[in-house]
Amino acid sequence: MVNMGSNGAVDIFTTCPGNTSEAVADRPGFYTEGGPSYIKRVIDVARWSEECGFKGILIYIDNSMVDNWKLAQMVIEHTERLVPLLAVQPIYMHPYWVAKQIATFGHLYGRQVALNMLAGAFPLDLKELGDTTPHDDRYKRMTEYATAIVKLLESSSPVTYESDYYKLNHVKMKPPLPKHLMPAVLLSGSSDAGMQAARALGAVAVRYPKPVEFYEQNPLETGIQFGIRLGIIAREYKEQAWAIARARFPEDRKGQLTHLLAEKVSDSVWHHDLSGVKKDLTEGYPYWLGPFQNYKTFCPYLVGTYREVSEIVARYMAVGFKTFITDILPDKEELFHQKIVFELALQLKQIGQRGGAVASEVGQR
Amino acid sequence: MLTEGALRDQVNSLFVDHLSVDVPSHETDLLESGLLDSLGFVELLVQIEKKFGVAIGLEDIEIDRFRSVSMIAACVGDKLKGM
Repeated sequence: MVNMGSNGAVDIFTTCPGNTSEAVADRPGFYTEGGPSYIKRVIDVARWSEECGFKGILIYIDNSMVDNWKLAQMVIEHTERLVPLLAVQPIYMHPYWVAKQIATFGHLYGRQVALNMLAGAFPLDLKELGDTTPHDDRYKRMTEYATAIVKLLESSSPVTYESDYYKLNHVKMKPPLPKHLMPAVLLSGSSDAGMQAARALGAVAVRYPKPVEFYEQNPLETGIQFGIRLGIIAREYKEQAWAIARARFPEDRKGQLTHLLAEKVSDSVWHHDLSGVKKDLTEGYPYWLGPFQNYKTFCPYLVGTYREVSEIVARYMAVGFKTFITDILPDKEELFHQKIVFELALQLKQIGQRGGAVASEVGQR
Repeated sequence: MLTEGALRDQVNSLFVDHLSVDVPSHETDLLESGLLDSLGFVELLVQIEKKFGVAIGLEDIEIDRFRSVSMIAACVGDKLKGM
């Protein structure tokens, strides 16, 4: 069995089920009721993810959702090594307190978390909190915020840091965080400002990807690590996969109108990029934007046989994407199908690399 | 073809019947007054499509065109004329 979580080639995360007090539209994987049933759901998905060899689990946050740090604690308490990948929005919490929580997890549980830095993709959410910071300035703020967090965690001496948005004055993080528990930093962003932030932080730039052909024709920038979020529905037979996909994400006019509204108000580059992907590229091709266009999720989906989906995943790996975050799971069975895809993709990638090495060797003779 | 007045009345009834919102007048600024939020806006679009048999597209979703019942009625009237 290929160990997906720590084989050194790629990092693969699942996504935690969401809990929200309001549903803009019915979204698979989101629950409005709290209590024991939702808690069990979170714990189950975390355990399944670990059992199947995934590295970690993304835990969302936005104004409508429950506190994801509480969910991270639940994940840590019910798994042994799964890494909570926490979405972090600068306006929610001072960077000192983010560092404090990370250090506390390290001190109490000996466990690592990862951070998915958000500059803020929902303008309405920010407006509700009185924040009207323009798009590019939000990335600057996010960069300074993440810098402050990392400085607090990595330094054994008191930290003094002054930037446009944050000031730290000779403050030492207690308890200290062991070096091996330093959080990986990822960030969401496809814009120039997002790329600049990724470079400055040495962060993994995560995006909702276009079809893989785009990246085969337009290579990723060097010097930055890249990741993608996508959904996967793969089965032995293509018709089977598509039947499941359409049942899970039926056409929904309310969702489509919500998507149009989001398209109108969003200042996110990725949202406009995905909305502009040509329709003819998606019809019947494993890359499917139906869920996105019906406002059920933001991920493109790969739908098809294990072979054709894993070949596309292998191609994403080949162009340089090293982190994969899959969409929220409907059940444990789906996780096993995804595991098959990633294992096949990793094998294809290795075969491709060996073939390339052989070709190179032959060429040198 | 409905008169402007009839259109305004029918749009107003959408607020009452489907959004449970009592709009003081056809000129009330729905956004400034907080009577129409993002969730309500989507529901309104759904109901406009059902009631008037029109299809809302990206080009129609200009927030300022939905500031009042009168403006919404005018928007619907334009869509109906274009059909």
